[in-house]
Amino acid sequence: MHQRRIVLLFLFLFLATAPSRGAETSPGAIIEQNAAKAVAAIQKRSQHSSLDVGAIRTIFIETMEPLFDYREMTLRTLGRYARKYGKDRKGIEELTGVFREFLRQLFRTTLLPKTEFEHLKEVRVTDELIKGRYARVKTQSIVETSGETSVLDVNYMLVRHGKTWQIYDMEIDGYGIVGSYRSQFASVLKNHGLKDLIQRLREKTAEMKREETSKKKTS
Amino acid sequence: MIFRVRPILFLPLLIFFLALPSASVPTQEPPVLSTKKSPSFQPDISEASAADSEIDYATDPFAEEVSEEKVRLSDPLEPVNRLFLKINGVLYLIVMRPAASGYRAVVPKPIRTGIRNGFHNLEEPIHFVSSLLQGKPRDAGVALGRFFVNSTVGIAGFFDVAGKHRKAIDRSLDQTFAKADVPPGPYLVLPISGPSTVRGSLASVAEGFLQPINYLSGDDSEEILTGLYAGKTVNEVSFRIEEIDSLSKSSLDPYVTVKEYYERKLTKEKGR
Repeated sequence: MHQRRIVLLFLFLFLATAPSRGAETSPGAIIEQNAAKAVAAIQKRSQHSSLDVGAIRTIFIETMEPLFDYREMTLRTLGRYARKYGKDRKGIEELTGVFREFLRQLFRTTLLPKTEFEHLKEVRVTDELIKGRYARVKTQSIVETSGETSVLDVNYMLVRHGKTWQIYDMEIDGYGIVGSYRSQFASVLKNHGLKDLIQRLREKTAEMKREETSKKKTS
Repeated sequence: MIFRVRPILFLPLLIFFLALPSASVPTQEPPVLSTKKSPSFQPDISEASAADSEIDYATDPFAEEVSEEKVRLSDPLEPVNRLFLKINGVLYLIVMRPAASGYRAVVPKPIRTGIRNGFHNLEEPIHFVSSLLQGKPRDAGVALGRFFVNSTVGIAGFFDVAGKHRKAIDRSLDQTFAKADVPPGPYLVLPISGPSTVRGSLASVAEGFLQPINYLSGDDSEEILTGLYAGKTVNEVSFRIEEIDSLSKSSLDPYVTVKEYYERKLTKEKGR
């Protein structure tokens, strides 16, 4: 379940595309507009050609990342350790980079089959709450499979940068990226330190990449 | 159903997989940092760093909006728990995973699904009693109805005939105790059976009395029971091999991941 949730987190990360430029747009509107575009793109692609893992990966890299604030996500995941390590600019920058790469690789290696993308019909914004520089957007994603309709509640957490809003976390069924990794970060930092955390993330990423490569060779 | 979440079924499987050596395996491969510059908007680091000390990153800006109180378990036995998790992880790797992979290769999915339904059906008496104790007579009725329909028309629960009209409502005795505000006690990782608490362990013992298969009698009953429980676990793992593998890949500290997962399961159960 945990793995499925992580994959779903990425799936819904992918629903948001480019940040709004120019006039300020509300965070809810950003999610709604981009989710509609993404759903349309998925449906269009799946009608004309098979929506294979490679295609999804490309869409993900091209469309998801611009709206994603990895730095804020990293600092939030550090939690109380952000204050301790926040002054170490290089360290935080390095951690942000390896965490980003880790999450990217995680998405690549744990991507679910295309069916879950194809059956996503609609994303509705049900609530928007702004608190200072932060916003939470609640959505409902409608998935139709074999005549059955499932509704999935997904919460997006955004941070304001000038006129732009970027996603720093999202939760499905109470499971979010920040929440899932905060305790793990804390456990490593408590016993070993920032360098070890960075090293572990690198090792994990490399391990996933090796597996991906060997799978490609065998298939 | 794609997004169906069955943590109760999944949880016992976590027993086996964790403490996999991956987290500590040294790698000779260089770091996989992308050299391509991300097109994403990134705030000015120096500007952000100056502000970082003023921002409380530990506090969720929307924490007040969350109504449920998260269950946090004390962990005074962490060193012992970690050891058992490692042992369980090794057992999973050398026994359970190969067994489940082989089993999956020879037994078709519809048969495995039927076997899973059968074992779930045997848990309906637990759901029935727990629902009654929680003052949910309607849910108790659903459990009872499902048990009779699936045990008869569904051929010993192999087919979830009742599921077309009434989905299962899984309620456990541990959940019942939690709702009665019985404290969970310290977090425990038990050999073979995995994450639990003192309260959860006692609830499991009590649930044993509500399991029809535990009333098997005869000279070979113990062997049969052992075989049934082993078969149940192998069957369940056969559905989850990739998930368990991926979970181990995505975790930096499997011990923390499993404990958090268990705490969230308890939080969700208490809120239901």
